[in-house]
Order: sequence, then C-alpha cells, then structure tokens
Amino acid sequence: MRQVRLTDIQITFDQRFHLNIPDLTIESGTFFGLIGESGSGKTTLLRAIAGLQNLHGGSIVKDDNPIHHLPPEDRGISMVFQEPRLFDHLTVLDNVAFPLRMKGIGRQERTKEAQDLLRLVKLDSLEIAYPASLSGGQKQRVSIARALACKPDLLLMDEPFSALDPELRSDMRSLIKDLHDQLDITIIFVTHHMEEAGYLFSHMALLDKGTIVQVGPPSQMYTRPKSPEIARFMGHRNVFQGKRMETNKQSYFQINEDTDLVLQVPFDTGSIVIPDYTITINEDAPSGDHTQLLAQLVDKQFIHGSLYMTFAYGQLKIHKQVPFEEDSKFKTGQWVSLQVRSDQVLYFKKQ
Amino acid sequence: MKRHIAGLYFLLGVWFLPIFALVLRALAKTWQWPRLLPKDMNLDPWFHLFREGSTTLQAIGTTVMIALAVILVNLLVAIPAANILGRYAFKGRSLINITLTAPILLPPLALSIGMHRTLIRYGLDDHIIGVIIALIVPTMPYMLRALIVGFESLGFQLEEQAATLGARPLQRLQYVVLPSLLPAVIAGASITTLITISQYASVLLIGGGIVQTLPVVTFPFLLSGNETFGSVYTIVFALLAVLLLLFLEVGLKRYYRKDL
Repeated sequence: MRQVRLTDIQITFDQRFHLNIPDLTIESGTFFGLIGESGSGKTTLLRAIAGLQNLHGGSIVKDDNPIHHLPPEDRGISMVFQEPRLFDHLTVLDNVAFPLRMKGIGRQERTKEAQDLLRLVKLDSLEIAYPASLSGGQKQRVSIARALACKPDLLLMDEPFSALDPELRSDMRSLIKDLHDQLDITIIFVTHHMEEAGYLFSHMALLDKGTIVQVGPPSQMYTRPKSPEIARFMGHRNVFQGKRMETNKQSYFQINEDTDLVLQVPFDTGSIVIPDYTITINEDAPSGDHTQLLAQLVDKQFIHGSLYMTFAYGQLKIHKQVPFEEDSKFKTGQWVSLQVRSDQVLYFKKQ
Repeated sequence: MKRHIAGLYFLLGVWFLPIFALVLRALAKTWQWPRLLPKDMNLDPWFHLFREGSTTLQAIGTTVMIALAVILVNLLVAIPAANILGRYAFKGRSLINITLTAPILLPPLALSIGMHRTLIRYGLDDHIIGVIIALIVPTMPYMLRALIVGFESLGFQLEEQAATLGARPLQRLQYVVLPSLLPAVIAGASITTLITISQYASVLLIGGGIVQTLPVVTFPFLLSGNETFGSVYTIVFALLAVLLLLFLEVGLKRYYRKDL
C-alpha cells in the first residue's frame, strides 16, 4: 500500500500566496494529476510532499506514517523536475546508479540495476555518454530512470515534458504511462496541459489560487465540472453568462440584448456550458423550431486532424470540433442549423 | 597562409626564443659576446644546485608545502563562506563581499608588513605557519571570488534533486556540490598557487630568511649577477608552477571523475 493523505496543508509566501489543502487522499497505484493555471500552487504542493518546501501547518501521511517532519532523503519519494537536473560530471549509467550508490549498494549490483533501467527507458546504448551530449528527450528519460532507481513508494513529476517539443512530449507520455502500468507505482504528476491529463490520469485535482476546486477522474471533471471556470479549464469553449427571461409562452436564456437561447434554465442569473458533444450541425434551414439555432459558419481551422469550426449566432460565437473530411461540405459563410440537446447542457447558478 | 607564418614567427619570437635562450644560459658558465651559442655547455650548474645537502630541494619542498597548505586553508574557509555569499540573499551581503575582496587592492607586501607585528606577538614570525598565514590573506579573495561565482551558478537545484534521490547532506556535498564546483576550485587554486609560489618579499619578511622558498633562494643569484644559477632556478620555478597547475587540474578532475 502506498496511499498518501494530505490533511489541512497550509503554506504561505509573504502574505501574497496561500496554499490551503483541507483534505486530499491519493490512493495506491493511481496516476494522479495536479492541474491548474500557473501560480495555482501545484508545484508548491508537490515540493511540500517531496520535503523541499516547509509546511506552515497540516500533515502528510504515507501508509499511516506521518512523513512531513522527515527530510526529503528519508521520505521514500523521488521527484522528476521540469529540467532533467542530471549530474554533468557523471556518465548516464552513473547518473542512474546514483541513488543506489547513496544507499551503499555495491558497484556490480548497482551497475546491473542501472543497466536494466536504461533498457527500460530505451537508452541502453548511451551508458557511457555524459549528459552534455544528450538531447532534451534523452536527458529527461535518464532523469526518469534515475528516479525509478530509488524504487520509490511515490514518484512525483513536475511538468517533466513541458520543455520538449510536441512529438517528443507525446512519446514521453506513452513511455511514462507504460512504466506506470508495468511497475505498478503511484505517480503524482503536475501539468497544465489538458491533453496530458486525459491520457495519463486515473484521477486528478484541479487547483486554483492555492486550493483544490475539484477532484475526480478526468472524464467526470469534463462532463460534470463544478463551475463555469472549471468547465473552461477542462476545455469547454461554449461557456455563456446570462439571465432567465420569460414571455407568456416561453422561457429564454438571455445572453445579451440581441442574443437569447430558447432554454429552460433553473436559475435567474448564471452561466450555461454547451458541451461540444451536445451540438449537431444540420445543413437544412431551421423550421421555426426555436431549439435549433440559425448560425453562420464564420471560421474553420484544421488542427491535428480535426476541424475547429466557429459559428456566429447573434453576437455569440459557438464552437464545434468535428473530424476532418477532405470533401467537407461546410463552407465559410454558409448558414446552418445548430441543434443543441438541452438536457445535456450544464447549468451554473450565479453564486 | 601569410597570417599563419606571421603567427609562427610571433610564437617563436615571444615564446620559444626566450625559453631556448634561458635553457642555454642554464647550461653554461658564461655566454660572451659575440658568440651565438655559449661555450662549454654541460649540466654542471644543475648538478651543483641539486647536489646533496643543497638548499634547492628543500626550497622546492617548502614552496610546494606552503602552496598546498594555503590552498587547503583557503578552500576550507572559502567554501562555506562562498556558499552563503553566493546562494543566500541577506542584508549587507554586498558590503561583506566588498570587504572580503578588499585585500586584492593592496600589494601582498603591504599586507605582510601590516601583519608582521601581530605574527611576532604570537611567535609566528620566522616560522612556516606565519608565512602560510601571510600568504592566505592576499590569496583568499581570489579563491572566494571563484567559489562565489561557482555557487551562484550551482544554485540549489542539483542538491534538491540529490536529496529526493536519497542523498544525505554530506553525500550531497561530496558527490554533487564539490564535483559541480570543480571548475571554480581549479580556478581559485591555480591563482592561489601562482601568487603563493611567486612571493619573495612577504616570505622573506615573515619567514626572516629561515623559511626558504624557491624565490627566496633564487633572488640572491639574480641580484649578484649569477645568470647561470639564476637561469637554472628560473627554469625550476617555471616547471614547478606548471607541474602544480597540472597536478591541480588533472589530479582534482581525476579525483572527482572516479567512476561508480
């Protein structure tokens, strides 16, 4: 069991930043994500778990043992940073064997273990190279192998791929996912890339201004965000603020003076989120049914094999992503009917 | 091509010719005008100076010992000081930095004269320890400067990494901090060596002629116009400087590159 429980964590920097985590449990074997904007406190929290940041209150318990008073070297936790932080005076093999040497393990045994780990990260041909001769991706793989050499109960990763180019980042994601599945370790991974979150994490916590605003599996946080801000962070682009208006016959959601949607909203003022998957595009003109929106295609962009389309509805911009087709029938300037499944729209009352 | 030939002549003129002349001068008793080469060249002057019981070998030993002692003390004092001054921000840091650098601005002899009375009071004059102390003062700022820059560029990142890999504080110092500071240590130690072994006046003043380093035994020959022995000592001095620098560069690197 390698469960980690954080209780009432308090960290303050010069009154300007306050990290406050009342309760967070990371179960054994999970690939847990900490996500949030820059400055939200995710790296600070990770450093506190590693023992590199003093707590001003609270406790960190690993497998029923408090560890917050222990120095980093006694916590059984290893960490991979954004920069590989390799020891330039040591070869690749010696870098990976470093934690074993610190434990006093003999040369023969540690060399063998380090070689096995280098094979695991597909770098066995570079044993005798020095870090200065490696590429960014290779360096980070050495750093991961070295962190694994500790046989840590818990592996912390602080945006380890953010300095790499996109293709390499994708390779590294696959590598670390395979390693997690193969070695059955608990990983806490900090990132602000949503694509990383969806691919890697079994659970994650979203931080905002030093506190956790939602915890859950990535898919749940996407389909059931707790606030419009979280929805936006999770990648929803159709987030609108407005108020309820009623006529004799119908109820509207008025976004501004010129634009409203026929929607029965459960509040007077608040926000709605129209998830991408609730929108269907129809070429036929609307037939007077107000649940359909007559919108004009104003922009389409081809990104990573998908078509990102932007429609103008009144003064609103509604976004929809569809798989790219070469003979796409949609032309910029074309009028279409957007059908929205109102039962899947997300509603947030103004707090 | 022309530029290369000009460079070659320059090297010959500025480097090889004087050294060649120096070597020739150290092999002959006299070198009279208008002879192109000295007459009767042999190794007699060398045998004479290195004969059994001569002061030469003793002077070389004393010089090396003083240089190594000064480097060692400088390192022991400068590493913790440079760690604080290079990596921690606190009030008055610049002032301390300037104060510790100040001895560079004065000639070592002036510092030695200032220290002489104090050393006499503690009975350290005419003693090798007094000389070592007198040579620490003008060399320490150089060692400190080099190490401060080393610590500044080292930061805390590698130590943090080592800690999360299970390294204890002393292990971090031995396996991470010191090897990473190696270029700075070599730079500081090299300057310390060169300053230390070339001091004449300070050593003579504090050592009172009892502590005999290579410059101290060379000086009378140069002063009395004995060019042959002066040349032999100059070559020995240059070789000693090169060997010490090589020892620092190669020896320290090899020590820290010891594989796992």
